[in-house]
Amino acid sequence: MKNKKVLIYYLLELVLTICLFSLIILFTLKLTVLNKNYFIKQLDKTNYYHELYTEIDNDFENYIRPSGFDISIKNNLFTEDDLKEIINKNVDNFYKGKKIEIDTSKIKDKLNSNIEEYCNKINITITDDDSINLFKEEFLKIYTNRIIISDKINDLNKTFTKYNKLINILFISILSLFVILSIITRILFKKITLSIPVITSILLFIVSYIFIVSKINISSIKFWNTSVSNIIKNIFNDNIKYILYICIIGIILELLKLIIFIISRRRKKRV
Amino acid sequence: MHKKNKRNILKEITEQIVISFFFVSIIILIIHFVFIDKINNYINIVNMISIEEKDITYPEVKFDNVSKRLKDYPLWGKEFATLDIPSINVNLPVFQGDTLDIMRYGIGHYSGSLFPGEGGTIILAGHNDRGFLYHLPEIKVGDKITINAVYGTFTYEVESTRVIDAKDNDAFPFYKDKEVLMIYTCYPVNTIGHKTHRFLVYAKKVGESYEK
Repeated sequence: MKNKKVLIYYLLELVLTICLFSLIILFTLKLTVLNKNYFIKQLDKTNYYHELYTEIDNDFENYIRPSGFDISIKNNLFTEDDLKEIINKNVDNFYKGKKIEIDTSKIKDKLNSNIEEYCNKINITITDDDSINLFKEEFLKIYTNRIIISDKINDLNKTFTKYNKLINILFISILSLFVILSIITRILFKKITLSIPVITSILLFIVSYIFIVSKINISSIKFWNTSVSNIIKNIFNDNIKYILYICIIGIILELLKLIIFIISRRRKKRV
Repeated sequence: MHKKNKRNILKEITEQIVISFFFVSIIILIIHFVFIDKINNYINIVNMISIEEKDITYPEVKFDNVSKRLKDYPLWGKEFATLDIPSINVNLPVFQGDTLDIMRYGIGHYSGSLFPGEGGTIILAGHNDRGFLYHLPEIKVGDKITINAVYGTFTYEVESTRVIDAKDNDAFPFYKDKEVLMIYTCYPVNTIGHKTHRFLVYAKKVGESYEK
């Protein structure tokens, strides 16, 4: 009977450990990748808007050259602030599960005006409207495609929203399970100790960190452009950093618990 | 009593640490046997974008006279030849790759085609603005084209020219048994707007000399 009780106790502790480990991972994800403000902060930190502006400007120039137009038709079409506004709005839409759309009306009007000005300047009349309209269409496609990166972005949005909701449900479920099991442990065994889950979680994170760092060279990540590469690296590093902080808090709490336990034992002894 | 208490505390701490290590072992074993394939897949995906920059000295581009193939290909974006068409006053550097970025600086070599001397289809592309291939539509049958590559010099003679739709990929037949140089640019050259056609030149090889 006693053996059965001990087995149940350690089984409960194992489940509590898995719950605590999962909660920490989900919590750090909610602080980073699943947090809209964190993502927008990363875009600022990695100078994403400036890099995107330069890329779009470069693409515009590459497209204008064979068209017969002068490079000047790309002047003053948009600013970095315009890009920032569009991206922030669409990041917000992404996290809310709304459709990603790029409003090109402003840039289209400016392009029309620049083309008209150029044609008046060199004194030419446009006879092939189809060619010019196709040019404007392709020009705006360059702008849109650079901002949204992939035409699958709305499909990705649906998947992301689905998993985001799932993670939220999972977090609440695991937290509830953790609390309930802690109460059951207290009732059945007259003690509530989270030392084993805390120590096990810390050890698991140390092992996971060593495993990940040995398999992936995070600092060499290169994807799309410098800013996006830096965002990915920052997400990795920030997740590791937050987990490390939680582990340190765990160690401090365990040490505090130990000190309080020793002090209370000494006081009992004196009494 | 004091010693007994110390012993009890130490015993409890040791027990918790031992149990923790035991739990870590169980969890790692479960993950290893159940999830290791999935974890390795995710790691491989991430490693595909983890590119270490190494200080490597790339070998010089050389031609193998036996296999009639290049031994080492030019790096993407690197200049490896010049294109010379005296009849239309063209003398431009040729780069490996044909992206719009590369073609800002000269002629782009389509990496899916062969290289001069390899005995097959060679496809070059260039912008149609002045200083590039603006005068390409003025080329005539019989005009000479020279490609001075780092590994040899190759001369071609224009056989024919065509205007094709920009999406017409059939206009670029891939030969392996005869060396054909194809050069194209956006067409028409003296209009403004989106160019839906290409001006294409076909030329056959008439001479070659290799660097020793």
